[in-house]
Amino acid sequence: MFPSPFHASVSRIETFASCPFRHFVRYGLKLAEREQEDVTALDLGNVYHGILEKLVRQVLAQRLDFASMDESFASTQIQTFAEQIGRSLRNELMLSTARNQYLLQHVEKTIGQVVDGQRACARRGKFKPWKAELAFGISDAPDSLPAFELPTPNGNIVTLHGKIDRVDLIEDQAAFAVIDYKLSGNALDLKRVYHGISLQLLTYLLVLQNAGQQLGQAQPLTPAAAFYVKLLRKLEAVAHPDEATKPDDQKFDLKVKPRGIFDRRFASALDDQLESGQSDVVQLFIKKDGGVGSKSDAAEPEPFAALLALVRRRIGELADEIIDGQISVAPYRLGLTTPCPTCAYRAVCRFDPVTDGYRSLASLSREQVIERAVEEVGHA
Amino acid sequence: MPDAPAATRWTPQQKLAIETTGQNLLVSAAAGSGKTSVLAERCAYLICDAPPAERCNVNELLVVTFTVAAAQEMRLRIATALHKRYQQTQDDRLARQLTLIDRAAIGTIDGFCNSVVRQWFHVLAIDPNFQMLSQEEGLLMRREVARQLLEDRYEKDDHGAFQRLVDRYADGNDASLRQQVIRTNDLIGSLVRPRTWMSNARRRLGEASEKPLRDSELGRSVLERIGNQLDSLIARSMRLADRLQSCDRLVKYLDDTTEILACLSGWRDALSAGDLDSLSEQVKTLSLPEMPRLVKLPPQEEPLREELKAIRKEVKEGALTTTLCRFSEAEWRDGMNRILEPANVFLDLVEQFHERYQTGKNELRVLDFNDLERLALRALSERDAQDEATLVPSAAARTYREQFKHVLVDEYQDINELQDSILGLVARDRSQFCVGDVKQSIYRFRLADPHRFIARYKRRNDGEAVIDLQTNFRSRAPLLSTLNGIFAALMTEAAGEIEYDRSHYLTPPEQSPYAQHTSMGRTLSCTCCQKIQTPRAMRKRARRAMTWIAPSGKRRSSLRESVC
Repeated sequence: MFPSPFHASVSRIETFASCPFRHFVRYGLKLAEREQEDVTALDLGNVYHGILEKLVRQVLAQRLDFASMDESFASTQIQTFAEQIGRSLRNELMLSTARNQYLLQHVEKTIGQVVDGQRACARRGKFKPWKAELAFGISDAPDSLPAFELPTPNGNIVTLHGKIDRVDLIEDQAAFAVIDYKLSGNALDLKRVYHGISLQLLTYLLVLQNAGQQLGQAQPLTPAAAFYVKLLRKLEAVAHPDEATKPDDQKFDLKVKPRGIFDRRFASALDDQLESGQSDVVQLFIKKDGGVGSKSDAAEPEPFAALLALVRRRIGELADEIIDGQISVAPYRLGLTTPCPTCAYRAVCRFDPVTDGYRSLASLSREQVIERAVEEVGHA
Repeated sequence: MPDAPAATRWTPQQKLAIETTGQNLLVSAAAGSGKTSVLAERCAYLICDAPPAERCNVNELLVVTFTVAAAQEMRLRIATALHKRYQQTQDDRLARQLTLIDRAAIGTIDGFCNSVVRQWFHVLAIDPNFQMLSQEEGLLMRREVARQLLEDRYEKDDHGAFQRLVDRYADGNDASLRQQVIRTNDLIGSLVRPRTWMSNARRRLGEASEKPLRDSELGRSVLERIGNQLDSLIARSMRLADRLQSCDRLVKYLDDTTEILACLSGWRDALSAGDLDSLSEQVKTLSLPEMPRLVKLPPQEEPLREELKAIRKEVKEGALTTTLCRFSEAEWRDGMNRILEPANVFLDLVEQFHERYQTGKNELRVLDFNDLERLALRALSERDAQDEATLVPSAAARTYREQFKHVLVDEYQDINELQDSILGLVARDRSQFCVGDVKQSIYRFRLADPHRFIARYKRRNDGEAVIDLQTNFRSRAPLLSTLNGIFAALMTEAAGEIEYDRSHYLTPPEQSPYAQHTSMGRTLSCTCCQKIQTPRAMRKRARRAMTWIAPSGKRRSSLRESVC
C-alpha cells in the first residue's frame, strides 16, 4: 500500500508512532472529518501562522531585525496583515460574524504580545530571522528546498516534506535555530522524541543541516537550537496584585520563554547577560560550578548530536514499519497520556483499553533518554 | 449485593430503621449496610405488620428511587417480601396487595412529577399532550441556544463589556464561557426560587462594591472565613503552647510559640475591630525570628518540633498571609468594583439564555425534566397568605397527602432543593423516610445537593429521628478497620463535607455471613473489598469499571487492581 520511496510529512510519521491504525485510516483510507462552518482550531492556527509569516518576511525584506524593530512599526504591520489574512481565509470566514471578528482582533492582540516577547529575546541574543515558512519537498511552494531524503535500516527510502515556521541565523558562525509556532503546549519532551511521537522539531534541524549550500551559505550549517514559541497566552494567577510582573518591567515581555533544546555552546548567543543562575530568556540555569541545571533546555554538544542521529534513525525505523504494512490498532500509553482522547477515529477502531490494552511506553527521564541515545547511536 | 440477611438477622439499628413510625426518619446508611434491603423490608412492614394506625396498602406508599432500574428492583423486592409473608399466612389482604403492586407509586422523582403534571394540567393551564425533551436533544438545544446567544452578544456589545468578559475571564476563548452559562442556568434551575437567587446575587455584588466589608453580605462572609481560619490557627498554637509548658527543655520553643500567638492575636484584634487596613499592614510587615534551634531532642519530643514547624509555615506562607489578610479595605473594594461589571454581564447572559431556551422549548411544545419538576411544584404549592416566602400545599398536594400514608426516599444525598420541596409538599407530617449516604454522593454533576442531607443530619429536627446504619455486610473486620483509619484521616468536614467520626465507622456484623462461604468451590475474594465473588463476576465488574473510567482519557493506570 505504501511503497518505497515513501513520501510523507513528519507529523504523518508521528501519527504512525502514536497508533498505526490511526495512520492507516487517515492516510490509507483517507477518512477526513466533516468540514465545519465555524472557525476551527486549524483556522485559528492558519491565521496566527499567516500573520507571523508576513511579518517576518516584511522584516527580512526591509533588512530589519526584531531587536531594532520599533514597537509602533510592529503593531501597525500586524494590524495590516491581520486584515489581509482576514480577507483571504476561507471566503472571509474571519469577517463573517461579529464573533469571528472578535477572534481576529484577539489574535492580533496576542500576536502583538508574542512579537513583544520575540523582540525582547532578540535584544538579548545574537540570532536574527533568516527564513520564514521555509518549505522543503513542496514543489509548488516558492523557494522550496528539495525533499529530505534518507535511507532506512531495511534499505528503503523515505522522503520528507514540510514547512518550517521560521529559521534564525547567526551569520558569522553559520549556526541556526529553528522555530515552530505552537498554539499551546509546552516544552520539548525528550521521552516523546525517544519514542518517535514528537520528531518534528528535531527533524527540521536535520533538514537544514544539509541544506546550507542550497540556501547560499558557503560553509555547512551548525544546528544550534530548536524552539517552540507558544502563541496562546494565559492570564497569570497571582495571590496579590503586588506579585504580578508589571508591564513596564523589563522581564514582562520575557515571561513566556521559548522552549525546546539548544546546544550548550550557544547559550551566550541566546542570552548575553547570563553569568550564572536563572536565565530570563531561555530555560537555562547555570550553577555556581558552571554546570547546567537539570531542568534546563541546554544539552552538551555530544548528546545533542546523538539525539539528532536518534531522530534520523527513528524516522527510518518507523518508515520501514509503514512500508511493511503495519496497521494494527495499538495506541501508546505514556504515563497518563494516550492519543485516543483526541482521535477522530475512535468509532472506527473500536479499541477497548481493558481487553486490548495500550502499548505501554517507558517513561524515561531526560538523562535516561540522552544516555540511551548516546548508547544506541554509538553502536550503530 | 449479598442476599439480604434473613429477617431474624436484622441488626438492632436496622430493626429500628424498619419499624420506627410516627416521625420523620433520616437513615444514614454506610456502603454495604443493607440499605436497599432495609427500605424494601420497611415497605413490607408498613403494609403487613405496622400498628393499625400506620398500616397501609401498597398504593398508599410513595417510594422514590434515583434510577428507573432501582425502582424496578425495589418493586421486585417488595413483591418478594410480601409473597413470602403470603405463603406463611395465606392472608387475602396480602393477595390483594400483591395484585396492586404493579400500580404502586414506586419510581423516580421525574416519573412522579410527570404523573402530577399530567393529572393537574388544567390547574397549570398547559397542553396535556406535551412531549418530553430527551437528554440528548436538550443538550444539543442548549448548546445551540448558547452559541447563538453569544454570537448575538458579540454583535450587540455597546460598551465592550461583553468582550471584556471574554478577554478577562475566558482568555479569548468563549467555549468555556458558553459551558459556564449553561451550567449556571442548570444549577439555578434546581432551586425553588431561581429569580430570587438571581436578584439576590446582583444585590450582594452591588452592595459589596459600595459599602465597607463588614456592612455587606459578601464582605461579612469573607470576614467570617478569615476569622475561622485565624481562630483555628490560634487554637492550634494554644494547644502547642500547653504541651510545651510541661517541658523545661523546650522553653525556647515555648517562647517562640508565645511570640507567634501574640502576633496572631494582634491580627485577630484588628479583624474583630473591623480594621482591615491595620490587619493587612501587620501581615505585610510580619517578621518572625528564626526558629530556635534545639539539638538532640529525644524522639518523643520530635512531634512538638514538627508541630511548631507546621504552624510557622502556616503563619508565614499559608492562605491567610499570602492572600486573605493581605488586602486592605480599599483593595477589597477595588477588587469588588472590578468584578462588578463582568459578573453582571455574566448574570445577564444566564438570564437571557434561560429566556431563549424557554422560548425554544415552547416553540417545539416540549418540556425538559427541570420544567417538569418546576410545574409539579407549581401544581402542588400555593403561596402562604401571611408569608410570601413559604410554600403551602395546594389542593392538588392535599389529595396526594390523603393518598400517601408514607413517603420513602432512597439516595437522599443526591436530591436537590426543588425535588426536596416537592416531596415535602406531598408527604404528611411525620411520615417521611429518607435514606442515603453522603459519602456516596456522586451526582453533583446532575445537580444533586448533598448539603440538604447534611443539614438535616445535623439539625435533627423535632419529630425527626436519625439512625446510623454502620454494620457492613460486604467486607471483613480487618479490612473495615483499615478503611475506617483511612477515611477518618481523610474525611474531614472541610474536605468531605462531613466529619468521619465514630458514628460513621463501618463495623463488621457480630457473625460474618462470609465466614462459612470462604471455602466454597469456585469463589474467591476480591483483593480490595474481599467480597466473595466468582472469577467471572469479578471480571465483569472490572470491565464495567474500566469502560466507565477510560473514555475521559485520564486516570486509567492500575485500575485493574482496584475495581471495587
